[in-house]
Amino acid sequence: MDKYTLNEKQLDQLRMFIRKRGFNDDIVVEEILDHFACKVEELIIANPHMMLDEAMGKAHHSFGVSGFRPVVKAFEKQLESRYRRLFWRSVRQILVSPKYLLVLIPLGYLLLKGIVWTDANGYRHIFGSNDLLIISWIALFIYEVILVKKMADLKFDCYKKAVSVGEFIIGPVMIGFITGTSGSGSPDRNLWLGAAIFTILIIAVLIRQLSFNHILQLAKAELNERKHTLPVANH
Amino acid sequence: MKPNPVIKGSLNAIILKLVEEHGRMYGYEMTRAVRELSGNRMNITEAALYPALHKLVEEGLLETTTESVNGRTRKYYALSQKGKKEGNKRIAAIKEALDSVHLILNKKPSYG
Repeated sequence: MDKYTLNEKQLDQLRMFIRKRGFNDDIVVEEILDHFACKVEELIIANPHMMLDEAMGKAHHSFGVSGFRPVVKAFEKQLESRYRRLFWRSVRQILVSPKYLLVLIPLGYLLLKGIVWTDANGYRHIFGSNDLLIISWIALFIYEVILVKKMADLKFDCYKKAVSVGEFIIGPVMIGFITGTSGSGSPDRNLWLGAAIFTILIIAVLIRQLSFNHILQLAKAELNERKHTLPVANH
Repeated sequence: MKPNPVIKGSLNAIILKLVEEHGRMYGYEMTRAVRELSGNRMNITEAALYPALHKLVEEGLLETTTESVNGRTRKYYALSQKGKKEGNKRIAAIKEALDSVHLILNKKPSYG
C-alpha cells in the first residue's frame, strides 16, 4: 500500500485514545493528533492487515516512555512564554504611554497624599483599622473572582494557564495592604513608607489588570482564528 | 533505532536546514526526512523535536501556520526573515564544528 489516510471516524478514535491518556483540552488533542495520525498511517501502510487499535498502541509506544507528555509540555511552555512576553510588553507600553501616565501618576499622587492627609488630620484610625484591612481583602477576593470569570471565556485550560501570568502581583499586594494599612500603632516615620508601598501596589495592580485585559483579548482573538481547525463541538 | 546524541546537539541546525530546503514542513515530515536522509541511521524523537521547534519559534527564527488537512489540524513551520539570516550562520557553525571533530578523529597521532 502506497498511501493510506485515516477517515473522520478513525480520527475520532485517535482523539479518544489521546483523551484517555489524560489530555482533555481540545487544543492540546489537536496539537498531538496530526503527528500521531501520520505515525498510525505509516504503520498501516507498512502492514495493511494491522488493526487500528494495534497501530495506535504501537504509534503511542514510539513516542517513548513519557508518551505524548513531552509534546504537550513543549506546546504549553511555548504558549506560556509567549503570553508572558506579551504581558511584559504591555506593561512596558503602559509605562511609556502618555495616555496612561496622565491618569496613573495623578492617581498615585492623590492616593499617597490622601493617606498622609488622613493621618495628619487625625483620621489615622481609619487607614490603620482592621476594618479597612478586611475590606481590602474582600475587594481583592472580588477582583480575583472577576479575573477567573473573564478567563472562563477562554474555555481551554492551556490558554487559561498561559494568560494567568501576573498573578504573582497579588501576593505582594496582600503584604502591602498589611504593612501599609495596619500601622495604627506604628511610629510616624513609617507612615510615608507604608503609604508609598500601598500606593505603588495599587498602581501595580491597575497596570497588571490593564495588561491582563490586553493579553486576554489577544488570546480570545487567537482562539477565534483557530476555531475552524477544532472539532465541530467546540465552535 | 536509538536516538543519536550527536543529533540532539545539532538539532536546531538540522531543523533550520530542512525547513530552508523544503520551504515549509510539519513535525512528522521532519522526523521522516531525517530518517530517510540518514539512510535510517538517525532518528529524531518527538521529545526532542517539539521542544526544539517551539524554542525556534520563540526565538523568532521559525513561523507557524495551521491548516486543516484530511480532517486534522496540521502545523507548518517556515523560516522567518530573522531565521533566513540567522539560520545560515547556525548551519555554518555546526558544519564547522563537525568538520573539526572529523579532522581530529581522522588525524594520525604524530605528537610526542
